[in-house]
Amino acid sequence: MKLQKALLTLHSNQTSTKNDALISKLDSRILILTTVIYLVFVLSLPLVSLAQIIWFAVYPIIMAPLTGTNYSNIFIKSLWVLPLILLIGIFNPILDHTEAFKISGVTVSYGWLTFSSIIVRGLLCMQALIILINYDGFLKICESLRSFGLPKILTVQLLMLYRYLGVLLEEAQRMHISIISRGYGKSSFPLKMWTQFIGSLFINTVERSKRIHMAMSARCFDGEIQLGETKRWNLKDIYFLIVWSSIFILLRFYNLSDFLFSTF
Amino acid sequence: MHVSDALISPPVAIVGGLISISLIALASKKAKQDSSQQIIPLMGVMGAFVFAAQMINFSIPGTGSSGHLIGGIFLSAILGPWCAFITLCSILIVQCLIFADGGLLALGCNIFNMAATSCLIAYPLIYKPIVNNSLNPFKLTLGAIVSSIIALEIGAFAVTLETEASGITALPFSTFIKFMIPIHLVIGLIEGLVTASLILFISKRSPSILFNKNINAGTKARPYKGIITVFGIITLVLAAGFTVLASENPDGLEWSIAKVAGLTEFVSEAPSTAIMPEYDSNYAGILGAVIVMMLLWGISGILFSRLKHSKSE
Repeated sequence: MKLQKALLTLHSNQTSTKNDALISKLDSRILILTTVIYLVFVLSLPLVSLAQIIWFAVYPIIMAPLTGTNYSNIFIKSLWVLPLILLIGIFNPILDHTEAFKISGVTVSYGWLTFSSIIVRGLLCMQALIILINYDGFLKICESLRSFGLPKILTVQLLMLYRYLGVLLEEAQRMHISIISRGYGKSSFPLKMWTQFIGSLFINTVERSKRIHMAMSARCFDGEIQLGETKRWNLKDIYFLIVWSSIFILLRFYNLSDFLFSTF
Repeated sequence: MHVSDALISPPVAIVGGLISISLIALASKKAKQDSSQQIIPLMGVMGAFVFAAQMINFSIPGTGSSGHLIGGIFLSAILGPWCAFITLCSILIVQCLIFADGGLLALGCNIFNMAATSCLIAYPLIYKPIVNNSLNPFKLTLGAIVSSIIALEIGAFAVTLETEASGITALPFSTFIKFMIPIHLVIGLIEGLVTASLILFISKRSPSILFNKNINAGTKARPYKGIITVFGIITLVLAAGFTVLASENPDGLEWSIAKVAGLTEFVSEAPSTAIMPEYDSNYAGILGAVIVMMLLWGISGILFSRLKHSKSE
């Protein structure tokens, strides 16, 4: 059930802590920057450089235990990105039959090579994103985005949305379960019934927003939610960024496979 | 329609990001000018509402499948385009950062493809002039359907353009667009019907929500509604034309599938679409990289279990 899955994901994000992480004092902004640099380097590689793209798996594999997660869990979570990638990438082996290399007499085309690259880089990008989310949690990322110059109204909106997402999802789930229990287990409804269901949820939502506004006004809400003070980066944060950036540059501009396995 | 990081190149991501950041900055300014403080909690709960509504499917008659609300035009009808854009941006950011839907680098492209096309293009140019603050069911339905179709078609066109510009797919642009347009025409039609039914429900139960001056300020109908309506109809006709073209001349996808099925007489006529055919790829390098990463994975697993074990002690 989609609602239940969404609630579980949200709950795991809200309760995630850095207690299990080896690098628990790392600044969120540094991890965001490292993730962005990683994504840029991975995506800048040509699709035919599959070996070089695979080397970039070093980042999620090493970062997973450092941030208190098992890489296998992250790998499994990242698999769900596959359907969309497969849908677009599958045309490459269909359309491109140019020979790339042979393995024991079996020709591998550039289409299959680029298709594999699309899948690998899709998984790697998703894994980097999952590591960022698991480590920091949404609120910390919001704080970091605010310090990067995200407009106040969007930050407030993100925090409001995050706060009420669980409430609305739970309310929708209660209503959904009550309808399903009267509908012989059907998971989707005819449009007319759906409209009445969602329409009722909407009217309740608007009423809720009025109550929230009154409560916020009573507490002198001035259109801004205060976030914590922006901390200064320390040396460890800067070292972390420099070390990973250097590794990414090395992996991007030197083909380690050529260097290590050229005699293979 | 979320574009994944894997399907775009850094330059495309940067362009998409810059466009979206500019639009967010503009929307923040406009939203501050146009709306009252009352809108802030409403935007928050509306974002959560659309998110929850997306999780509940309705059945599509005669197909055996189901669909869900996307919500761009609906949000614009309730909050006005600028606030709706910010709300939809926040939904996309939450989808990306909590539910890992889309990607961090692709976020800019996704904001443009889904939020900007519906809230800043289709709503003010199509929905608003057609509906023109009326409660007429025909106008509401027509406005919702036409604007939803146009928003989704522009979004689908943008997705195609971004993927092609990134050089990811070997699928030719014309074939790709013929593949995307008809699908999104159907999705747009369904989205329009759902949006219309929801707006009609609200217009009967609580019409004041649709005409809240505090909320919908700054979204007056444009005087050039005739031109816009014609533009909308032309786009719809073009989209329908693409659909017919795609079904009458199946030389794209079906031709490709025929090749896969082994009809080699077509294969020999096909141009090479290799991205870098001159590249001398060495499978030993790929194999070596995979082996090293598998070893590293094993070490990482051992490290993780050791850390967990030492913590529990």
